[in-house]
Amino acid sequence: MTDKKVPKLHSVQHYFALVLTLGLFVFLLGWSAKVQIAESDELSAKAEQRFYRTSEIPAYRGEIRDRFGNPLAVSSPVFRVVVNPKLFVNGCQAYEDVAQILGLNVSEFKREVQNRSKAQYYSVMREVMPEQKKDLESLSCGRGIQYEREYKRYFLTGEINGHLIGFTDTDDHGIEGLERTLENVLSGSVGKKAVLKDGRGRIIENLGEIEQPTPGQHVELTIDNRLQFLTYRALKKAYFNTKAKSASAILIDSDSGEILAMASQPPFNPNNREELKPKQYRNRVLADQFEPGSTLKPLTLAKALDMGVITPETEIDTERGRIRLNGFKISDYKNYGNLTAEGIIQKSSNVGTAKVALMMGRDPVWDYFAQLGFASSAGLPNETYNKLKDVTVWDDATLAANSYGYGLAINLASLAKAYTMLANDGELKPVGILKNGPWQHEPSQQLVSKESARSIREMMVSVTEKGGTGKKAAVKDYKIAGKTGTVHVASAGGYDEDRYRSMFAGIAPATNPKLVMVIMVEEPQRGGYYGGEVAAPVFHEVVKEALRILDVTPDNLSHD
Amino acid sequence: MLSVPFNLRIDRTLLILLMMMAGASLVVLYSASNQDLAVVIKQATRFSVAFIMMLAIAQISPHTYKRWAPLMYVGGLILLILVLILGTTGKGAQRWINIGGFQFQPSEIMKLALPLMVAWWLSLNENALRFKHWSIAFVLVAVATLLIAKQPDLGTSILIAASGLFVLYFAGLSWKVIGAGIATVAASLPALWMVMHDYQKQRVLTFLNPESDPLGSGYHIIQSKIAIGSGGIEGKGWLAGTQSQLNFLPEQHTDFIFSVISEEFGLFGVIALLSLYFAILLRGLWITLNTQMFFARCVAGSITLTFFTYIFVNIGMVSGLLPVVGVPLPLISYGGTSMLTLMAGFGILMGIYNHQQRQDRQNHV
Repeated sequence: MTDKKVPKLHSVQHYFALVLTLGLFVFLLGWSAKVQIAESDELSAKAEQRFYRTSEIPAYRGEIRDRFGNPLAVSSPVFRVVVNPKLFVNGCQAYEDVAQILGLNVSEFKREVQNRSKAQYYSVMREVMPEQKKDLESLSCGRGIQYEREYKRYFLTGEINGHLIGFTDTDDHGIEGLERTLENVLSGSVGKKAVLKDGRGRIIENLGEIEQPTPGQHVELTIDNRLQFLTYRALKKAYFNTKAKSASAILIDSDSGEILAMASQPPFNPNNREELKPKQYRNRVLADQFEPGSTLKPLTLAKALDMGVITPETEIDTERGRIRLNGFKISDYKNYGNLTAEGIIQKSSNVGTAKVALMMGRDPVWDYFAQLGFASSAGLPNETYNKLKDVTVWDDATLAANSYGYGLAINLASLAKAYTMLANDGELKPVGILKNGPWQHEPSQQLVSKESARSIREMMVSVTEKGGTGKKAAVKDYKIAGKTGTVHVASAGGYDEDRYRSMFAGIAPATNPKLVMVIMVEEPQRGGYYGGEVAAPVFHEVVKEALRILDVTPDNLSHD
Repeated sequence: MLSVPFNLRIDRTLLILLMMMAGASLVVLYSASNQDLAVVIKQATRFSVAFIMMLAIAQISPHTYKRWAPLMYVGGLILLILVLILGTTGKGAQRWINIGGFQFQPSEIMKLALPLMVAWWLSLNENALRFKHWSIAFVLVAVATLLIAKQPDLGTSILIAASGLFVLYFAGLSWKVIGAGIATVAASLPALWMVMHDYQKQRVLTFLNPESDPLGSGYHIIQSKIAIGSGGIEGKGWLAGTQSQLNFLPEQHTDFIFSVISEEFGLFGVIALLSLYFAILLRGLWITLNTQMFFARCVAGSITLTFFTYIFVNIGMVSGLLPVVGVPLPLISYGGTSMLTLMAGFGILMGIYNHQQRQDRQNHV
């Protein structure tokens, strides 16, 4: 048998192979033991860290309320519905019922759940209402269906406060308006819960709460929702009647500096934000800057009286309605002859105002404008900064143009704040939107003398009286100090002849002021374009009711 | 214990060990597949087919393989060349070929054909092996290895080369040549580096320093090591491994299944697995040692040591000792082709054992 001849050498190789493989096995085992014993703690910690995570529990967001505590924006609990596919598939299997309650496609829902049959967490739907949750709970699916509390923001006054309040995102964080400004106060602090996440970062199981969320604080505004509604309604009417591009209005309690109403158009309802464009939700009172035009004239003249460069009796020659400064033409609507300060305001004479400003001089006028906030802001949240050209570039023409409201750009709130100075007998007080906010402690400043301010207010009453440009702003039994403005809209390379901004700024009652209101309508297309025709009626409609609601004593009962 | 019908010739020891292995595989797979019963059933079916095939092959005499060895080898070479020309690409490598709707990897045929061929060649001059015989044997190994490395499939080409070289080893290649060969391989590693594909180089670099790219190529090794280490001595328990159940492990039911075992069954599980493997190896080496026929002895030794190579490369790879080369854990990993080849190999081993038993009985008679 040849098979018998086995050379010895070969069995050596067998034993060597045996020893070698045994050696390598021991080596593998030793290595494995080293990793599993010596490095076990460290690697276990890494493994924990890789699947154990904390996730946020949303906090209840504070309410935004008006000055009387009426809620304007509230968060209401809704639920994220989470199915535990593992339990659901082997448990209640109520595919049809769940799909029906949540309004889902049954077969699609069934497929999604069954595809995840080994997972423990499948987020089915957010913003599920408490009633729907109740229905789901009656299906007795136990832990097969779980609910995570979330909050949905409701804006109870809808369009009325839309631009002012702004809105929140789906996670209830403020992203526009006061919701954004007050985010830190309103949002509170989120809680923590432990979750298991898989290698792909998806939550697969809820392990429970670690830290309770702290609810946010409620915030009260200075807004009077009754007056806010009146302002909103009147402004919206004007906006639609005149087919304007936009409109804005602000109503301030001149005594306290509290803003009682603030509205913008086109309308915006924060509860319905489909196909939303920024131009719809922008709060134009704070965000839009424009040339205030003639509405600035009473402010300029008040300073002139204060400085003593003119008296109420001084007559200014309006030069047949046109003058030229360094090649810059200034003209009036027509030749008004000689005018007193009252005449300048009543006829809205550019030439008259310019000549007075030139008498005052560049620096005093610039400093005064800066004190009024025209180089900064009114000090409100979310406000854009006003633009006043630097004093060093002011020549006579710039000085003249600025004196009647051209060449600078300010927002409506700043214009209104400047008017509260006239209302408060020359004292410029802070204004604000937060009830009892820190703004109240900011210093006030006497910008013009009491006499000058009162004198100007008296002159401004003529504007709303018979023959005045703003007579449509008049309110029965009250003296209304006002000023209209009709400004050509600035565009690239100059002013458009047929595009206007119509304004009215007023103080009521003129004798013992309580309210300041400023209205601006941008590019009205119908029913005239003069401030007295478009903006003054809004003032009338709101202030008439506001004076009644606030029970303000009439100062003009003997008149009629 | 096992009743054997129709005078079926089997090696009961090996059969029992392999069945234990299959059982372990199904248990681990259920967990590694995220408790997908379909995966387990599919694998069980494959095992059944593989066991039947193994028992069938075990009835064939080694003399038959010896006759067919040259034909298998040449056929295998032709298929390998066909793959390079018209094979389909899977995961960036050309390994598969379509024949009548069935996809298979010709490299799997080569895993058995090469050791058979080398053993056949050497057995022609088994008592007077000279330099030229050894040289031609080397060429046979090199041709098959290079064709597979070209696909490119580094893992399989290493296994193929090993299976051929193990035949040379058991045929009695001189220790001097073995020593010189190891030295040559070590010296030529830089040259090997030059011809490697970018992804192969990347694997080696990642292997040398997995933390350098923790989210990229190093991710697999780090996650795998975390799984092994966090298992500790006792393990986290069946179906309770967080790394595996939460999909942190790559290819956890195929190449990285050792990590699942380590995580869920701990060091005890690893000891059990390695003991089972070692028992199979011992049985293979025992059969080799007791085989008198030169051809059969070389083949048996090669099959046994190739099996060991699988184990060592896979475990080394998932535990970060070796670069990731894509070798499954034998008899445990999910997958059909390589398991069928392994079981066919064990069938041949059993056939060799049966043949020897018959010889012994005849001698006694």
